Amino acid sequence: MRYRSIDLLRAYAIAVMVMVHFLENLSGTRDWSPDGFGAPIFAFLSGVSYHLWLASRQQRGCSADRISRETMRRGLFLIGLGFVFNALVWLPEDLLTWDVLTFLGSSMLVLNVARRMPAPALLLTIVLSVLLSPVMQKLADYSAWWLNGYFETEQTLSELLTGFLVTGYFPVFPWIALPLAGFMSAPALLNPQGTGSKAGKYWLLTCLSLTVLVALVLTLRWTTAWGRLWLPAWTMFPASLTYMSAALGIVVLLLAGLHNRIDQRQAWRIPEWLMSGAQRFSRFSLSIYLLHHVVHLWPLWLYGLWQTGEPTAYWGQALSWWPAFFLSMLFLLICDRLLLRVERHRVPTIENLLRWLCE
Amino acid sequence: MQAVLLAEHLPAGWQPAKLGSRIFRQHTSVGFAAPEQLTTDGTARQDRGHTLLLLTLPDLTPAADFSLNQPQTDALRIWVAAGDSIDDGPCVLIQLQGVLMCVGSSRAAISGTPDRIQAVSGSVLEHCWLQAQMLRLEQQISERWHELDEDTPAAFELTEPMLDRRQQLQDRFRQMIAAKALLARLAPLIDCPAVWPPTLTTQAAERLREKSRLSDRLQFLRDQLEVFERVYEPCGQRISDFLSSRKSHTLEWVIIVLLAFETLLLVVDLLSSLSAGT
Repeated sequence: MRYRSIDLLRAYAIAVMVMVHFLENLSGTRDWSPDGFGAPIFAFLSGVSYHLWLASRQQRGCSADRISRETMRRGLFLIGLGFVFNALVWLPEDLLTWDVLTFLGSSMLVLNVARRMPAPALLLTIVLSVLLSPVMQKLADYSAWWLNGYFETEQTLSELLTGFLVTGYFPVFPWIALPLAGFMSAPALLNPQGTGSKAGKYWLLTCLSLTVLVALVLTLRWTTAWGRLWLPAWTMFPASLTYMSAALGIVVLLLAGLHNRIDQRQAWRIPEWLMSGAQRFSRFSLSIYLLHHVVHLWPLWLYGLWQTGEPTAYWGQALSWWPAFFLSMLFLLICDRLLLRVERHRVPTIENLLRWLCE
Repeated sequence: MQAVLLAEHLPAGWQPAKLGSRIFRQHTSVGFAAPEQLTTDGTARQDRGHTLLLLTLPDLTPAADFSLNQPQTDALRIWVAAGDSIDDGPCVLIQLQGVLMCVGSSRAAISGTPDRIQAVSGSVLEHCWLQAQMLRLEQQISERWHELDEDTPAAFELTEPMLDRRQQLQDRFRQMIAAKALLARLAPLIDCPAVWPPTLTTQAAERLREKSRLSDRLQFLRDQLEVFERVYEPCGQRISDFLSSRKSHTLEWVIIVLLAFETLLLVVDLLSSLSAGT
């Protein structure tokens, strides 16, 4: 069963990601970016989708062993794809930057363990991974890895592991909290009673409180001198306590709200063209993620190589913000048309390859 | 439950407090109503819910001339059978020492001399009540076989999704125990040995029990309830074990998670010192 709310959210996340990447990589601006709520939504929805996938497998009578094997294959496929993507798109020196694909693959492996964990232990894992991450970042000296505003690492085992766990683009900690929270909250948020169930209400109340608390903390931080010293900042790299809490709160509230208004009560009528587009974007989100990087980075590298001999010479300074923004919108439009054809002619995509290899 | 004696006049020496056994008196209250209260379709104003109607006809036919083919007897039988449902089976008709007794599960009729009516009315009412209770139990059990099929896997192995049905299993277990308790209380009335010296009252009770095969039915019900017990008792045990092991399982996982995070902090610390070294 496809939930229209999930499709809408995932389509929004991928569209935001496309926009943010075009703006950052072509124009170097971060002022326009909605500070990356795309990635948290995407990570959270990966947990929700895993729950739905798991439920459908169990309904079909798949054995726990088979589910485990398929999950592991999916995880390893995504990690492998992440490495290939890094090498081909971000060039070989950035092979081990621990981007979102390697993170999603790793989270799949963690979810395979998490699905066997009792709810209190899973909740504890989520809470500890958010709360202890600042400690880990401090221990690993996070800022030393981001001296030039991007992640740099040596190819040594200790640095690779540190990058994977704490200091990379999307390290396991604290990002793992999002897929785990998605996996854990999905039965409560998407059950037939909706958020009217006891567990659903707990999730909503907790996330609402988290969001309000973050808003309060950020207000105090911006308005008081002691707040600037003592309260946690709002940063995505590293994912700070406030950022993770707000991301978690907002994503849960968004999913619960959309599910309630669109799937259950059908109070909001989404135009058919928008909904079918969102469903396409959601279904082919992995392909879009790969394609949009190829589309805007390869020309950038080639142009840099041709002009200066250094592929990354124009990274973040090729265009001003508005052409970059225009290009991202153009890409989304063309992508929609392209996916329509892909759908119609049943052209194999990376999603088909994933299913073919892993199921 | 209410038992209503339908009679022109209260029989001499009629003492409701002394009718039938103690358990019967605990569960029923015996009242009195004139036969005029019978409506044209044969029901009475009191004939609703769990009501036993006992119609006494002291002036019918002399005891010696009773015949099962007499129209009056047929009329009695029809009236008694009208109170029974299809599943209740035929009503019992007994002629004993000048008394005609026609007994169903909610109605009974006695015809004979007043003193004999008085002698057997307690036995008839009690039998009527016993019959109703047994029928209720039999019906209850026959409706539960599909539930038993559904619940049997839980007696062998309990899984997480089955926990959602905990309340349902608990209710079914409670109903099974209630049925067993009722059966245990009825058993002494059904399995009781013949009283010596025999009187019209005791003989009437024995004949009614024999005719209704109450003793055999009691044994069948015991066997059937034993099957239910063999399923629902382990279910309760399994649920209790499952909940207990789940608690300890959760605790184990919490400890594992705490240890894992502690190890992780140590590993990150170690890795950062190694990275600083290189």
